[in-house]
Amino acid sequence: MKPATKFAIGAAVIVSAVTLLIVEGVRQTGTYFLTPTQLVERVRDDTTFHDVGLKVSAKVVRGSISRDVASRQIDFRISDGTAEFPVRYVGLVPDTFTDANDIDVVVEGKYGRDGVFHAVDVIAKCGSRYEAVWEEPAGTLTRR
Amino acid sequence: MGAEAIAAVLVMIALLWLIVQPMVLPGNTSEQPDDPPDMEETDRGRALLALREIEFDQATGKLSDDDFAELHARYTKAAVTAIEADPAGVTASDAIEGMIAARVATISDGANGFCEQCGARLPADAAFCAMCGAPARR
Amino acid sequence: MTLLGDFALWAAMLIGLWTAAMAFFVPWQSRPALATSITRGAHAACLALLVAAVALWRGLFTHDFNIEYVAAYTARNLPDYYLVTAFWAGQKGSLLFWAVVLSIFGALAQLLTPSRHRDLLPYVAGVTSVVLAFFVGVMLFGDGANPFERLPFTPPDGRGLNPQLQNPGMIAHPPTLYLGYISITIPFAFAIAALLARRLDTGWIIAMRKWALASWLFLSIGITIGMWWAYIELGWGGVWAWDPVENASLHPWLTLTAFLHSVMIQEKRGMLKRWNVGLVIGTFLLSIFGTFITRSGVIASVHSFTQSDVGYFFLAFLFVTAIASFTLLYTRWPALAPEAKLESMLSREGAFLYNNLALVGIAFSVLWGTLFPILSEAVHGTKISVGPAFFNRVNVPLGLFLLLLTGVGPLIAWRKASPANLRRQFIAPTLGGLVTLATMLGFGMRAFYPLVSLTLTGFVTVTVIQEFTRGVRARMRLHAENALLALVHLVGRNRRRYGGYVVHIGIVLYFIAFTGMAFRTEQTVELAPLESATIESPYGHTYTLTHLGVSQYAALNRHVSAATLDVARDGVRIGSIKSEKRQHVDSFGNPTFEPSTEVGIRSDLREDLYVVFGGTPDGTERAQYKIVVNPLVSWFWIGGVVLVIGGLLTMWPGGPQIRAARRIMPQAGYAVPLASVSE
Repeated sequence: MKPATKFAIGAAVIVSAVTLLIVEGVRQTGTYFLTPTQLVERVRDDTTFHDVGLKVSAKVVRGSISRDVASRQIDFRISDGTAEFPVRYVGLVPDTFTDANDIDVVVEGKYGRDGVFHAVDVIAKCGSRYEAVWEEPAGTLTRR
Repeated sequence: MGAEAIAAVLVMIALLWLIVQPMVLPGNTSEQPDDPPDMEETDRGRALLALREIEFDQATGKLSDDDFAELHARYTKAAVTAIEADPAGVTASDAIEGMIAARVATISDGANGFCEQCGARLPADAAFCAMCGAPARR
Repeated sequence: MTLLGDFALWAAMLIGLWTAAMAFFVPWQSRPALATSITRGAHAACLALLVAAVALWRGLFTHDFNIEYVAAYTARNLPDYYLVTAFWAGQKGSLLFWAVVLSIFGALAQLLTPSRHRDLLPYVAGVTSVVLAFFVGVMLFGDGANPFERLPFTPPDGRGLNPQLQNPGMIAHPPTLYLGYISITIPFAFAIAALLARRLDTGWIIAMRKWALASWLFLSIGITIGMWWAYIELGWGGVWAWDPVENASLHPWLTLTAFLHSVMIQEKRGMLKRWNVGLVIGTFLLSIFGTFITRSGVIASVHSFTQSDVGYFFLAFLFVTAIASFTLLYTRWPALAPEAKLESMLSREGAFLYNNLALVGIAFSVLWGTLFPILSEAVHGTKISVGPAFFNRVNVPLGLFLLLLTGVGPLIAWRKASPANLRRQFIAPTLGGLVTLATMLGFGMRAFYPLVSLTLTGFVTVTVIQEFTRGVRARMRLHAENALLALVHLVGRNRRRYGGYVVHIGIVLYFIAFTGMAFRTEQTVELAPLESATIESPYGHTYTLTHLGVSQYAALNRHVSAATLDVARDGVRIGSIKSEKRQHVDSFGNPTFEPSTEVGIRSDLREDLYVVFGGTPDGTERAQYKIVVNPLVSWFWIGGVVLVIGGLLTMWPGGPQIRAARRIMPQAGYAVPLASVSE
């Protein structure tokens, strides 16, 4: 067998192994990444969707966070403007997680049949935070 | 504001001068001789480097004696061919390299070995070890 | 200084466009004066951008809050050294930083490249100028991307620097990573120049390989410091989250690592020319792609960068560059034919080919996973995302295969190897692996991947040791040198080879540290004062942490709540550990930013005890903590240092020399018959 043929066989093995790992990996670990509207529609069409672990990206509704100190449980609502539902999470949340200024949040968990999203993970983003428009405060120095 | 404008003008003059100067005042910059190419850039150098590597791979036990002999002969030939193809480009040390390489090739074809006393390599026709002076026994 | 800054940006862009136009469209080959003028364009652009950089720094240091960028990222109470780093704290400054560094690299490439490559240099200047003009163009024409933009009024104080960026790691992390991303432009420029000039021998590779090494080293340092920053600043207790922004830095690193190996095959054998050009182009595109990901917000990431239309400039640039480069490669395809054939699969070339496939395979899988939300939405209409579970499933086996090759490659001779010799080479490393395996089994470790990983690290380590000892012994024998001198000469005369082996040891240490991550334990607790929590270490001992209390005080630009824990290991007190919540304030005492957390870490070579203060519920004396035991984390940082040492060794000036070659054969005992040379 020529070296080039041998190499081609080895290469084919590696390439197919990589492909197999990727396909299997996606099949077994891929999770839906939805907006609240999409999730509500999906659940309406197919109630088994309540049992599927998934991620939802939305904004935290202002002033909706309530914390239960003893059990470290946090309840809040998320919305994308159209659909809105409550989320329950137990654990420590990142510093950036507030209900002050429409922060983006990604919650991972299951949307239970009780209409509450039971999150196992909460990731807060702080994208638009300090890119707010500059407003001229009263009585500041004017442009030179 | 004024100072900034002056600075900007000065910077602009400097930039333009940098770009235009070689065209309006062509010095003899391009007349400098080029520095010699790296060994890896010439066929000769590559062959010599390959020889070095083959020697070393044999010394560290990676190459069998048969493979060593075959590869060594081939790259010696390549080095000699390269030198013959471009004798003008051969510097003095290169020429010595090539001679050594060619010489080594002839030696390697013969019964090669190592000194029992100190482990230095022995040429085929050596009666004594060049490193320690012990009589050559193989 | 914004007038001067703006002027400098415009000047840099016009010079860039001019240089590129002259380099690509005007025949300069027969006109040395013109060729020199084109290469001067790289220097002129560098000068212009240095002026722009000075202008921005001046604004930062004089607290000129009328400049939007200065007001947005600094404040009067920010320590001075953070005024230096605020340069790259925001998107606008990062773009300028990128352009400045690129122009410096572009000028250095002209200065440092030997004059015998002068038929490449104007093209190199052309390529770097195009990239530079693009970056400056983004600043000038992008939506809110000009760092010299002024506000219609002057705020009394700036908004200050994001507290997560007020960290020593952050001083070094973005610049080193940028340096890595940016310096890839130089190898790319040489590749394109070689294609354009049809100088497709190894000359261009030799002219740029130090740049490729430097780029790889910067990327490695940047990634490692990024891991460190994430570890101590993001407060989730890990170093690598497979976040898209992190992955973006890994893609070019992987393809560049592949290139650094496959390029040796081209230098020695004249093979893989097409593959190498492709890898360089691919690496450059991936670094631009990384910038696109971080700047566009197209893929959800925890890293919060400004999202703006600037990202789409990069996407457009990415497509144009990709099409232009690969078209050029296609037109030169026949000229890039290999000079030799693979002699045997059982050779170092063979091992390197598989190493390349594995590296590119990993890069592809990471890219695929990163882009999967977009791809799935385009195909199925539903976003499906993959998380760390996916990346670990795919990359742990591939990474271990790569680790195996790291040990196998050095044992095989170039060109061809004989099975009998190979067996002898493998005895010690295999034993090393098996001893490691037996030891770990003896300690009661039963997890599959960690066992494989540690076995392989043993294998690779013994391989490297064997390479060094055999090399030293061979030199002692051939040159009659003592061991120390032999070692110095061995490394000094083969810097890339033995520097590379040192890098391999660094990689082994990373793998050990990653293996440790498999054994991390964590728990979340809430403690009243003097109440204790216990956490079991995977080594078998138990930590008892006692909550001492929370103290509150004001520092320079922040209010601090510091929670302190007393730490005992197996009942013996070993010290205390402190974690803080910080609320940054501006110079009027108004809070800026959300509160940030400083984690508490007790680190030794075996494990880190990592504590995150989660806050005090409603003003009680109780405190919430996340407590993590992270085994072997220190080895990431030690591995990083080893890797840098190895990288510097490979880059140390001076290549193989005739002088060195002459000493291979000290045939002092007989005269060389000079006549025999012509036989």
